[in-house]
Amino acid sequence: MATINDTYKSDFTFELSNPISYQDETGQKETKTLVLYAPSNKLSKQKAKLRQKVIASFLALGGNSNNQNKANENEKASLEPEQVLFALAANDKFVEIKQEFCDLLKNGCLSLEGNCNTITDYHLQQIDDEELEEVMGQYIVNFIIASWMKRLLAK
Amino acid sequence: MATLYDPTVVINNRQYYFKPNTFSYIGGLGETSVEALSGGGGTVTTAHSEDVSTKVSHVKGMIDLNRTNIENVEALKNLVGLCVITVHENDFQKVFVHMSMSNDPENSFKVNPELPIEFKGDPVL
Repeated sequence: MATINDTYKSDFTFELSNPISYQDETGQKETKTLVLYAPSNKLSKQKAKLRQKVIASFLALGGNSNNQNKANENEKASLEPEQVLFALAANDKFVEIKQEFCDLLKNGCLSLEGNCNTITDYHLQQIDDEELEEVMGQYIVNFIIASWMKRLLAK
Repeated sequence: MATLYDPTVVINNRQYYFKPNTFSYIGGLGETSVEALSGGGGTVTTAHSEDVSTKVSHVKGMIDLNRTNIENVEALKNLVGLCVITVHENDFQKVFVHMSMSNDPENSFKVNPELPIEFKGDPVL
């Protein structure tokens, strides 16, 4: 399970429960393996927009987060994708966050089996919605808020 | 048996939406020539030969004329022999590989504009 740790990852894989179709030069293929990449500097604007909405969702969660932080300040910094999704789903910007995330995937942050890099709505529509949200949770933990959370928790 | 009338068409990992009643394909199974041979005395038999030069698949249809489609079509035009087309509906599926856009699409700006696209390539898989 993805958690914030001391080393930054540049990619991770996610296994889908059902295969999705894609095309390469030899024809039609199927895969269950998604390879997700950290957003490149070219995508810094899209990444910043997504991060902004994610942080806003956390802040909107409630006023007792500071107390909780103090209580946990000696514990190892960790954040589970499920916690992130829970915080995001409670926010009315959830749909926009999903859209921003899908835009990142279509701009080079996802490949299928490491082979197919041209990701379109055709591929994303084949992924089960629950699983896409699971991927989003892991992606946000790994690549969108990891560096910030580390800095915040280090203070 | 379900009638096929509303296929999903994917070209190089992108789904395309076709104008109604414009999409069709020829599998590229080739033409077979049949010639009568006379044996004399009124006897006749036939000789059959396949014209391999006609074993070319052909996929065509009309898509909407908009900026995205124009840009995508221009990109496809440059992929000579590298286009892959999948046609599927329910449990029916056909895949075309080594396809090239054979026509030079005419962008006609009008009411209900359309962009004709045609591909030719290997016989259907």
